Amino acid sequence: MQHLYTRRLVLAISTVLVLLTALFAWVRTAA
Amino acid sequence: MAKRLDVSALGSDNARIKKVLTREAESLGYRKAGPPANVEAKCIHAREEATMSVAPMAAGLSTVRPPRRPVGPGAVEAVGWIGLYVALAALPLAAALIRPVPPARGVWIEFAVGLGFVALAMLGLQFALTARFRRIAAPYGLDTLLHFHRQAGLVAFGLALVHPLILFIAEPAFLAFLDPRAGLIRAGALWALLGCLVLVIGLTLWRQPIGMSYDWWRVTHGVLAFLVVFIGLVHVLRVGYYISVPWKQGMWVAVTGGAMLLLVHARLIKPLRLRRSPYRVTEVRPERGQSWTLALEPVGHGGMHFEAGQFAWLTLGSSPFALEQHPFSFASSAQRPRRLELTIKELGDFTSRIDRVAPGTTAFLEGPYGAFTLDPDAGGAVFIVGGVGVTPVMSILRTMLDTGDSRPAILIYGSPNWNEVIFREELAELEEELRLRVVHVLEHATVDWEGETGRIDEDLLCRHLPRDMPALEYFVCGPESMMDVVEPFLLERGVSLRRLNSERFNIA
Repeated sequence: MQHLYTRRLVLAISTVLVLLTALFAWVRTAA
Repeated sequence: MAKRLDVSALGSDNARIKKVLTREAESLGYRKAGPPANVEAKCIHAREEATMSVAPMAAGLSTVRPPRRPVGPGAVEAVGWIGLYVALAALPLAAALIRPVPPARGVWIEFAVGLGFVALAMLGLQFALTARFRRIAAPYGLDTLLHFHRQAGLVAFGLALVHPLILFIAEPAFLAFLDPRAGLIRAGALWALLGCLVLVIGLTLWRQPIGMSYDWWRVTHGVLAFLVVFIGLVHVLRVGYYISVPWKQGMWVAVTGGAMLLLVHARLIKPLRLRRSPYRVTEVRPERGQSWTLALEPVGHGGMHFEAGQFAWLTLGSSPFALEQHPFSFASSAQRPRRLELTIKELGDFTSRIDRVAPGTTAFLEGPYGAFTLDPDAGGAVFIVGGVGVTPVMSILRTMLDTGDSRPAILIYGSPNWNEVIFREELAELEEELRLRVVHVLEHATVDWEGETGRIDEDLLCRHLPRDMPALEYFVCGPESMMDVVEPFLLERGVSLRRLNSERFNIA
């Protein structure tokens, strides 16, 4: 069960990082 | 987390071990199962059927209502480490936005480059997760940290693959990076990087099916991971699009190089330190259930001070650099740091040789690790274990005896049969000396057995667990199939994650 939460945590962190990367790309090209 | 023998078992050996563990789990009556449906209804039904002999214990426990554990520094620290992880993984993106910045390219190209940065940062952070820093592991438990390492590694692998794929689609000219005719060394390095990445993930996922030993996998994993990060760093430096100024180059070298140094620290520096505090095997004692207790005494130092329920990594032999290093729970009292005992079940190649360890053998212990410990503020404890999962619980109970701890405790303990109940006799004595009640659950009982039979399931737990479950501290340790039944049940019954301590056999 705790491992299930770990998987969810990794998924959440990964999503945040991909979104930050998308933000990075947007900031770079929008400037 | 999983330590004792099982751990080592899964960790150390091959597919045979998993079969053995599965067999042990099956012998204990466990199967893969989802959360029990309608838990409360089942429990109400079970309570009605509960025998009167159970009631006094449950009643005794239900009178203990300590205040709920507040959100303390541990929880703050746990969230803090997660925040730091995200910040460090995103650090290259932030650095890339600081002037001077090169001209922007297409949005997909910038996105792909950003993914490459994040992938490399995550791969570097992988070393920090496995460096066995007690401070980082403390809020979660080392097994959870290693599980995070495994999952994060898969994500980083995926991002590292998506990085070139998007680049190739957005701008086919980037295919030249993999073309030996356009640059032999560059193409060779990148193909090697790709190969190392595939190998490091593939061997981790399929080590057991291909029959690779844990010890060789560990060595290979470290070398391949080192190569991946090193080539990745060189790739960033050679491309150099975002690191035209020295401070940015220095940041990449410092952060990534620091991560690689963590590996060196874990594999070389730590073993060197262990040489200063060796142990001597003083006794190898047979236990029930094909298990052995290894007793160790410190040589020239004060021993290891640990908390009951923790574990350490054991290396046998004259050198702490030996390939074989396995995690085992302490079984002895935490009050006796100069007489350490590890109880190990015969499950794999390493553990099946424990009986041949001669007294006098030199040993090294790295630790202690683990968060499977009883909070001093807890009003009592509920232990639910299977097989050799009883080991850390024995350490907690023996410590309670040594410290005169009078808090109530209940142990629900699954075993294949009466003869294989590890620590059977001592548990009976502890029942007399502590406020402890032991519920043995036998998968294969003789006709004269009057106790519980079968497997530890929701009905059995309903019959024996006290009603004010969230007020107590819960410990679950055993085969994964047992954990998959018990953990969801407890959470559905209202036990908070902070009150639930779990250790899984397979941490490697």
